[in-house]
Amino acid sequence: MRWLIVFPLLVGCAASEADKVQTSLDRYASLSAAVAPLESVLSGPVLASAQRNYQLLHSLELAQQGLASFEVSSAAGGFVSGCLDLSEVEFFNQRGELLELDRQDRARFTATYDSEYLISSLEVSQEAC
Amino acid sequence: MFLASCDLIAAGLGVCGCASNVGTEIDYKLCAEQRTSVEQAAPQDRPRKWCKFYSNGTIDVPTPVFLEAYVYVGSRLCIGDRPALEAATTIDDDLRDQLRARSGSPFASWSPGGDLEIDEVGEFAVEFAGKSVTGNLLGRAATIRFTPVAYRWIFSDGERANTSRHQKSFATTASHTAQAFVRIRVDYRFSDSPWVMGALESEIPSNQLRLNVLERPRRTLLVG
Repeated sequence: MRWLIVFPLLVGCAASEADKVQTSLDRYASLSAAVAPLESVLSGPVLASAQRNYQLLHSLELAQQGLASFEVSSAAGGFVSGCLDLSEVEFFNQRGELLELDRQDRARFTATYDSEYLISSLEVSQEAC
Repeated sequence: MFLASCDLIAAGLGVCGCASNVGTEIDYKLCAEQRTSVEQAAPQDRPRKWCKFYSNGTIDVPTPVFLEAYVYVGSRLCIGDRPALEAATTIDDDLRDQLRARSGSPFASWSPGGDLEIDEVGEFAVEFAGKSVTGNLLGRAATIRFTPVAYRWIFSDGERANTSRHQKSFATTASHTAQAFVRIRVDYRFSDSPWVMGALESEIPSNQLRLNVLERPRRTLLVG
């Protein structure tokens, strides 16, 4: 009888691989617009790219408003893919003018992650989704 | 040198130059960026020259007398010289380059081809030639290769298979379809460096096969 109570609790707590990488991507999305400890969510080339582009954003005096969001459609074996929604992300120049950007607001993405669910590379396709 | 990856700022600005497209084939771009800093040091040694300067050591505050001496060229300003340039300058140069390769699409077929009869076994096969593309990336040889790692078949009667070749028959007369999906792994390497395995892994579809399954009329031979 005791096992009958414990078993549903164990099942309810077990997060799938897709859930874990979705959590990592959500954390990255929430940190991307700030001076942030990106090392806690990123590694490798994507970390280098994020740090370099944060400096670039700062030196160009551009301000980001709004956050991106990831929608994971599949995740297995260190590869994750899905849709990246950038529709809320806007950039303003130092005069407060909105930049007009040539991009897909919803684009397919693929990323790789390591055993600790750190995102190690990110590719964003020009293909809409 | 590092491989460029996209990130959310670059994606937000729409400048992910190295994005890969996956559709009916994989279009993979290997990107590299290199920052070169060249420091131009001040010249080490020079010949001497005859130099005039005022007795207070300047060339622009005249004094009743001036001094003349042989000095090393560049060691001090002399009357008639232009102001010295900066002792050292740094030139930064960003180089960007990319190597692009397309995987090509898998090709599906069946034999014997044409229409099939009910319960006649057809062999369905999908071919994807492993492919390597070699080029130059910032002056270094770079290779991108595409390798098939898994296969998947979907038949319109609901049957599934996970091999590149699959034998099957159909139990009903109808127009049927079959399509294969090949999972492709993308690896790359520079010069003789080890392969970087699994830079991307994605599934691409083959052409869709359409075939008619018929029931041919049977003739009965009566033997008396």
